[in-house]
Amino acid sequence: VTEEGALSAVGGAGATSSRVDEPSPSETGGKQASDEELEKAWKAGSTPAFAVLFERYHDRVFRYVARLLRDEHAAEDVVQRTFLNLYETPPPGSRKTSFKALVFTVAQRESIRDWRTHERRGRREAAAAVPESGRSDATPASEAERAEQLARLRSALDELPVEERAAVVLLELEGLTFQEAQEVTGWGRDALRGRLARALGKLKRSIRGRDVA
Amino acid sequence: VSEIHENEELLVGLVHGGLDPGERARVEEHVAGCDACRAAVAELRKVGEALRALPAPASGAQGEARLDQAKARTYAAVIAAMERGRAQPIAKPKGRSLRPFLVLAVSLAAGLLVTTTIVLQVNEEKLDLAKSQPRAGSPAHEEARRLETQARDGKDQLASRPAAPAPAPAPTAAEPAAPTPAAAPLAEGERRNDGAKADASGFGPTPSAADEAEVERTLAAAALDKDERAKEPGTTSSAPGAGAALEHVDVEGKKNAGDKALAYDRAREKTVVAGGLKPAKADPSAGEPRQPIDARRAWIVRADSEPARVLVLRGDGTLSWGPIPDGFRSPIPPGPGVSVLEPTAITPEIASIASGTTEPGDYAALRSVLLLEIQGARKAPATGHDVALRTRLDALAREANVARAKLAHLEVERKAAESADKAAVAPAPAPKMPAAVGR
Repeated sequence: VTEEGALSAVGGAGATSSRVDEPSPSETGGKQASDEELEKAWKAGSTPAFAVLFERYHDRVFRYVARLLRDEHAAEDVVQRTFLNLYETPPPGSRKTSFKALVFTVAQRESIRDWRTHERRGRREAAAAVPESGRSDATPASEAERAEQLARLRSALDELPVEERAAVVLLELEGLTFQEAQEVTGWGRDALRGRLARALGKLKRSIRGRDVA
Repeated sequence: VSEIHENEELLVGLVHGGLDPGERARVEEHVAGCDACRAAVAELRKVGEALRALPAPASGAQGEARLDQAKARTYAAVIAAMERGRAQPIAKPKGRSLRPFLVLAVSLAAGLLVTTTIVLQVNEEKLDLAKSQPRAGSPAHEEARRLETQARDGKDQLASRPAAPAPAPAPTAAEPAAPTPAAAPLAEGERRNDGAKADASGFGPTPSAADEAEVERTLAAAALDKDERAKEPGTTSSAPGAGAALEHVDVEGKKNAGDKALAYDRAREKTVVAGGLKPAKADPSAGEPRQPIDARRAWIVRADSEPARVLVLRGDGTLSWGPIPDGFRSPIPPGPGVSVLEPTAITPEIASIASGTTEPGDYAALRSVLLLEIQGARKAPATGHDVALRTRLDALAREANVARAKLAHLEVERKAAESADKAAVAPAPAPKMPAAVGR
C-alpha cells in the first residue's frame, strides 16, 4: 500500500465526516440568532438565551471532551462543569474571543484538569472499538484494509499526548481556526504548530502501518 | 529553501493558517515549485480527511441516546443552579465584589427562616406533624422535622451556624433524592464546581460554600414543604401548591387583607392543622368543585391537518398523549399551534382524554409536540419582528430543555424510589455464596 493509497483509502470520497457542523440559516428559517446576540441576551438576564447556547454547543463540546479524555463518563462530568462554570461566571463583555472559543476554552481547561487528576491515579480508559463503516462500494478486501487503517489511526490518536490530541481535535475535527485554537489552548503560535506537526506526523505514520513511536 | 523543505511545522502552518503573512507567502512560493513539499501538504490534508472519517464519540443510535441522557443531566444541573439562584446570569462589572449580593441573599434567607420559624412556633401546640407533614422519610419530611426541632429549641439558624460541615441540601425537584449511579454525575459536578468557582470567578470574593448551602437549604425546605403539603390527602384544591391555595383561605371573617398579622391567625392555623389546605369558600355559582389533577403541565397541539391532541405531563413523570374528540370544549386553540396549560387550567376532561400513558421517560411525544410548536412558530404569520420570533423560539428551546431535564430527574427519582421500595420489602439477605458458585 503506498502512502498516497493508504491515505486515500481511509479519507477518500464517500468517507463520512464526523465534523459537527452548525445548522445553516436555511435549516432554521434564516432566523437563527448569532452567538453574540444570544450571549448579549444572556448577560442581560435571558436564561432562554443561555439555553439556546447550551443546545448549540453541548454536543460539540461533549464530543470534543470525549475525544480528549477517551471516556464518555468523564466527558459528561467535564461538560457539566463547563456549562455550570459558564452559567455561574458569565464571561466579561469586554473580551474579544467568540463564545465558541470561550466554551471550548473552559472545556479544555476542565478536561486537562480532569486528565491530570486521573492520570495521576493511573486510570486509562480503553478506547472504544471502532464501529463498522457504512461504505458499500468497496470490495471486502479493501474494506477490511480500510477498517484496519482506521483502527490504527484511532489507536494512534488515542495514544497521542493529551496536548497533541487537543491540537488535532480542535483544528482537524472541530474546525476551529488556528487563532481560535490558540485562544482555547492558550498556547503560542509556535507551540500549537509544533504540537500539531508532531501529532500529524505520528498519525501519518500510523496510517502507513509504521510504528508510531 | 531547505529550511522550508525540511520543516514540516511550516507546512502544517500553511495548511491550518498558522503562519504570518510574510511567512505564508514565502512557504507558498516554495511549495509551488517543490514537488516533495506539495506532496507533503497533500498528505497532511489527507490525514485530516482520514481523521474526519473516524466515527465520532457518542455516535450511532446508542451513542445518541447516551448523549441525550448526558445532556439532560447536564441541563438539569444548570437548571438547578438557575432555580437556586446561585448566580444570576447578569453581567457583573469586572472587579466588583459579590459581597452585596451575598448579603442580600443571606438577608432574604434570614427573613424566610424567621417566617418559617414563626409559623412553626405558632402552630407548635396544635400542629400534628404526623398528619400534616409530608410522607415520613421523604426529604421534605426530614427537612421539616429539622426546622421544627430548631424552632422548638429557639435556635437561630443563621446566628448559630454549626462549625462542622453543613449537611447536604435537601433535594429539590431538579435534584435526585438519592445518589443513584445515574444521578452521581450531577452531584459530583455541582460539588466540584463549588471548588472551581473560586478560581474562575474573577469578580472578587466568592461566597463560602457554607453560606450558599445555608441559603439553599432554607429555600429548598420552604419550597418542598409547601409542595409536599399540597399533595397531602385531604387536599381538595386543584391549585398547584400550598402557596397559591392559602391565598384563598377564609380567615373566618377577618377580611382585612392588608393586615399581614392575620396571616398567622388561628383560622389559618386550623387550616394547616387540618392536613394541608382548606379549600376556598364554596361558590354556589361555580358548580361542582374541581377534582385535584396530578398534572404538572399540558400541551394542546393542533396541526394543520390533524385532529387536536393533548400531551399531559403527570406528577409522576409519565407522559400521556391522546387525540381530542371533535366538539370538545375549550381550551383547544382555534387554529394550528400549541398552547401550554398550567396545572390550574388542566381540566379532568383533558386529563382523562390523555389517559393512554406512555412509558416513563419516553420523550418521543414531548419532542414531537415541541417540534410542532417550533414549526408552528416558524410558520406563524410574519409580525415584522424577527426579535419576537427569536425570543419565542428561544423560550421554546428552554421549555424543551427544562421539561426534558425534569423528566430525566423524575425518572431518576422514580428509580431511586423503586430501589428503596424493593430494598424495604426484600427479605433478609441470603448468606454469601462462595465466589466460585456466585459466578
